[in-house]
Amino acid sequence: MYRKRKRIQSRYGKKESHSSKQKEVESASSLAENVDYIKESLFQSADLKKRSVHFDGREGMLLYIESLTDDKRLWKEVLQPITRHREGELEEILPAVDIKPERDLTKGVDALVDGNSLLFLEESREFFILGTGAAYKRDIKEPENESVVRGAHDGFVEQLTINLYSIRKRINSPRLKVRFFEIGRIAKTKVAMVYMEDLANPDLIKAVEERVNTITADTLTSAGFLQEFTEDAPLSPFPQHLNTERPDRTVAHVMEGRVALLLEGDPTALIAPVTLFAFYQTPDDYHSRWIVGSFVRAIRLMSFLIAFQLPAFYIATIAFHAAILPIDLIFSIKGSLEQVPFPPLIEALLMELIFELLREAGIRLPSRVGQTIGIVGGLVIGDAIVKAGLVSYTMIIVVAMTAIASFLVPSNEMSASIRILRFPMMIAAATFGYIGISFVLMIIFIHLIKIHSFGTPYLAPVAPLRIRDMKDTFLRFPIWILRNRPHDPHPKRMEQESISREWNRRDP
Amino acid sequence: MLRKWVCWLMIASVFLLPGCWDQDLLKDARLVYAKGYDRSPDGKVIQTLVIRRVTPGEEPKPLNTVHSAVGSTVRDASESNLLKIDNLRFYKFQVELLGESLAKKDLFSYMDVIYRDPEAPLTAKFAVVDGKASDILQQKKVSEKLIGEYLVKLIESGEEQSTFPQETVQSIRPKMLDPGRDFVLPDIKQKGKEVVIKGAAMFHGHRMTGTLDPDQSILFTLLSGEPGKSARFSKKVNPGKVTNPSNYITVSADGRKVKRKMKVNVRRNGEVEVDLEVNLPVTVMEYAQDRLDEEKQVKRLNKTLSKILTEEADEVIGKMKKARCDGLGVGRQLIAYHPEVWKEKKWSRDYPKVRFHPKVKVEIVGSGILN
Amino acid sequence: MNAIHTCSQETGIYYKGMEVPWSVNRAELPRDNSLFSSCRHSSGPVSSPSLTMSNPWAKGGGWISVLISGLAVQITILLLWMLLRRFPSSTIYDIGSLITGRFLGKVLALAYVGYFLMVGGTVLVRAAGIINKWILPQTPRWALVSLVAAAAIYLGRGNLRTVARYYVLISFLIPFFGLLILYGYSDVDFSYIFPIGEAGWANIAKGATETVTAMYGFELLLFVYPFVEGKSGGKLKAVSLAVWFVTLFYTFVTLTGLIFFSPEGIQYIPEPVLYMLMTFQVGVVDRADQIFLSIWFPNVTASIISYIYAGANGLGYLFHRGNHKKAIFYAALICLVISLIPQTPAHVDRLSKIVDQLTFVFIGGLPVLLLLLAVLLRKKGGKAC
Repeated sequence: MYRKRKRIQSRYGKKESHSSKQKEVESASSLAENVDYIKESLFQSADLKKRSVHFDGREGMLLYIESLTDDKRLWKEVLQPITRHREGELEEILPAVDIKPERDLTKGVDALVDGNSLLFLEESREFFILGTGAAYKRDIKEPENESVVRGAHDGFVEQLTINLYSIRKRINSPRLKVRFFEIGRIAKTKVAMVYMEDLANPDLIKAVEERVNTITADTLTSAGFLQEFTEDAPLSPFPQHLNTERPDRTVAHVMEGRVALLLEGDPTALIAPVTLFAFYQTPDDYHSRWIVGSFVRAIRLMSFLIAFQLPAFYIATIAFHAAILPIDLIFSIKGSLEQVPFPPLIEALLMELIFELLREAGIRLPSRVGQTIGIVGGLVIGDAIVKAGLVSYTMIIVVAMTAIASFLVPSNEMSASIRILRFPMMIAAATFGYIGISFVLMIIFIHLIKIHSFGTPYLAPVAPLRIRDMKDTFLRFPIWILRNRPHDPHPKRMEQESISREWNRRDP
Repeated sequence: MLRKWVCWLMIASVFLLPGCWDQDLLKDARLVYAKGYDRSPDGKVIQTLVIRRVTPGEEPKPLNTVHSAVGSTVRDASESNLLKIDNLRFYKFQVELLGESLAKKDLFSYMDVIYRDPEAPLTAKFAVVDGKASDILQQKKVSEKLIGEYLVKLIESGEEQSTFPQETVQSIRPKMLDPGRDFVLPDIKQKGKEVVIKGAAMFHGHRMTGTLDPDQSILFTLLSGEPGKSARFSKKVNPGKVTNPSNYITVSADGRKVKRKMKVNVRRNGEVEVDLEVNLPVTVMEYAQDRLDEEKQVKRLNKTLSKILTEEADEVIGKMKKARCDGLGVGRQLIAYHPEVWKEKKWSRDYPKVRFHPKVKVEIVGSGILN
Repeated sequence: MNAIHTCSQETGIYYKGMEVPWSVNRAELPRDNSLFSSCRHSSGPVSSPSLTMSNPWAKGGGWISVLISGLAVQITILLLWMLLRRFPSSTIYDIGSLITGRFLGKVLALAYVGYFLMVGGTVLVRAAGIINKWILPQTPRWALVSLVAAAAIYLGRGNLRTVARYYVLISFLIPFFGLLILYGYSDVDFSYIFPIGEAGWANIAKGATETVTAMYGFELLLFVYPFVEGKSGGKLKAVSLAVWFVTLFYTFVTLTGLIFFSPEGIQYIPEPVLYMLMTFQVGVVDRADQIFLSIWFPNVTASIISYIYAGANGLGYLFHRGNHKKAIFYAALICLVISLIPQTPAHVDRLSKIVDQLTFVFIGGLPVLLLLLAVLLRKKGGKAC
């Protein structure tokens, strides 16, 4: 890892020096020269518009990219005042726009592609960057893949500022800190790192910062890129950042001392460090009463085991250890198996394949056609495949159970990882029976023990064992018992609640 | 790098090369539901297997097929059965019948194959057949029920009603090997087209040495302190005609409430005495004379029943002594608490000399919804 | 972390520490406790009680033998601890050369590597034997053995901390064993215990010598001691606690088997626990032994892994300048080869016998000798980190 980094540094130099190395181009005093330079920098792009103005008795030129600029604003807040006043201090004339004087033309180009417009004046080495960018906003909607029954129904959108607004609105504390990075050698993407200054561990912040800064890709198109560049164990099937589109979930994690990374143009927040169990928690757990929340969470964790073990367990049972079935069950299973021509592994793989096909087809199709898929899958395949004697009834039940269990995971990423894991599991079960299952489970758990998310053991608080943190792991204890923050992100302050129910104690 | 590849190759080869050494598909298995053993006149073992099959289709229907084969040992007989039936699997058999002719020989040598097999279901039931086990199994069906299920239900209901103690293939093994304890198995027989409980078969060491009638075997389970859910008796408690039902009383005892005390005492001269006391709280189920609200009457019935049962207990113990069956585990108590005495005894000779003092105390505690 | 880290640098264990230092579990005592208990536990409630019961002397007193051997183990541990306490930052590999000089020390280290791998191989072959006997009769031994070796290599490539975490995880399974065995109490006869000491106390004590070797695992203290954080007294307490936990667990298992099968009945049953489980119906599962075996498998693997790991560290110390990651591959390979050598059960028994005797030498004899030497020569290791 270190070796690799050194190589990168030698090729590009340090990230900071890399950007400063970019040649600075002093603007010329001639208007035409400057305009030509800008035009050339954009390779004569057709959507670069210019408009001549008169100001202070000088010739001037306003340059902007049509597609990125808010036409109305440009007219109302820039052109109109300039044509009316004709002279004076620009900042006084244009009170509504952000004005920045600049001499470096390359910076001007960068600002231009960001949506700003440039005002050049004849015989002046200084030009002005005017903030006239257009913003097309999507409505703040509840994310479809993370909907909850009760609680907040807003979600992140593609615009970073709005996402930051959603977070800031929830944590109105001066200690919430936002830091920006611009990642990408060619197309720059804004990445925001959000954390609580007084909670997040400085080592963690340093680690995140370092990993984000070393990214030297041409562009970051989605959060997935950021995720793969910064993961501890990129070959692992398990995600090591929590992806969420919910501001409330993000805020809850930030308040536990974790760091959230947000990306311009992507409605997901990446939260790190996380543990395996974070993927099995939802905001719903905390919205309902704690008994209900605990029950639901216990069921969800059970689904973790069902989702990748049930088919394997079934295969091992009917191919190796049928003796463990009770006498009444064994004959009904045997009856349904009697006609099936395949060995159990093939039977299971066939069903899993059909299921994955249906699932993938269902995602890509528009929702109206999606119903058809449901009918085809449920009726035609489910019923016909048994009648044709290709698959047994019990296998269909097993595969259906597995599918339901895998969709129970609140995180889509984790759900996909688990669906993948059941294939090696099934092969092992078909080779060694229960011992095979045992072996693969062992390997998976060894893997889980070995990997870390930004230095936090992935299986905390189970291994390393920390019984105090179990309160919010397998079950959700009442909130007033969760006095301390979970230990795994190593927050600076542990206490998160102290005497909220003091009134109860004082009452006789 | 090389090491890494060797590792991967190792794992891959384990899973992909030959694979499935031990695969034993349930689909192909012919599952034995019940089996029976008889002894042919020339000393060979006759094995009769009931194989349960399921008709394929949406609504599977159970079917039975019965096969018999002869061999010089149990395993040998199975081998000859295997010639006829492929994929024979014993891991789910529920009941094993032993012909009387075989039970009177060394049972342990016939059982060895089961105890040695890691797949054998050790919770299967056992029964001794008065007659031939194969005759019962060949019936295939008893009153619309498949023979295997029928036998299991028969034995289970016998256990519930305390007709015989609850024994399985595994639970008799320690008793067979323990010199200070013997066991008792269900005894059934064929009667016309039906199979009925005949009582219990007593064993000494590895051999069957006697039988008990159903009434006696109920008393035996009470004396041994291991009754089933309930125990019922019908006894004649009034003088008068034997044919008049109102001279009889039927009572039922709740198995969990029966208290038994056994005390083994050793006299100075080495004689062993056993005090057996059974407390039997019973509910009246049938008593046509119905004057149970009178305390005097109840007391009389208690006394009469206790007397009758105590006498019968004496009889049962007599029979057990005759069969040399130490079903109560007196010898075990001697080993555990009087090891010096035990060392001097030769139990199969000395057991009949033990003096038992059985005492059954019946107490009517309920009388149904009538008084 | 710092303590472990410096420690490991001194002893030559090389951490390629990607782990950020603040993520270290500081609750060290419970960790090493479970480390030891799992090490020792895992070599098996299946195989170990069988040893005590099938021995002809102890008869109904097998469970007393277990208790006595627990005491013997405790004494041995006290001796080992006295030696290790003098060298708080060294494993047995270093201690040898610190006391006897460079050359002899290396020979000693090599011998210990051989011993650890030999024990690992023996446990491996016995575990494979049990699996072959009970659930997978046709599966060749090399396949089963390579499963364990693969897991060992995978886990062993990490540092000792990940190994310890694996033990913590595994120890969650122990209550399941206890619960499964408790099922046996539906059909037991307590009078089988009596008379206590039927076989004579001399015979029971003799039986205990067999039991001691069945309680493999505590010898790993020789290797693990310096890596565990904490004061020496605390470490002793933790290990002793683990010893008595395991001893009592064994006693419980042995006793259960005894009153379930009768002293005569158990003589022909080499794996009483499995045999007992075979008769249980737990919920909808008819045969608890098969479930038990699949829970037991990761456990026995854990114990084999600890031997391979210890051996690999020794190999790393000797040949790879302290890098055990390279050595773990060879260590696993050696273990695998050892486990494939014996062809018949008689060979396995002979191998077990040899290892039993070696245990007395390497755990009893040599450490005591080293301790005496160290006391006489007044050798002491550097202060603990």
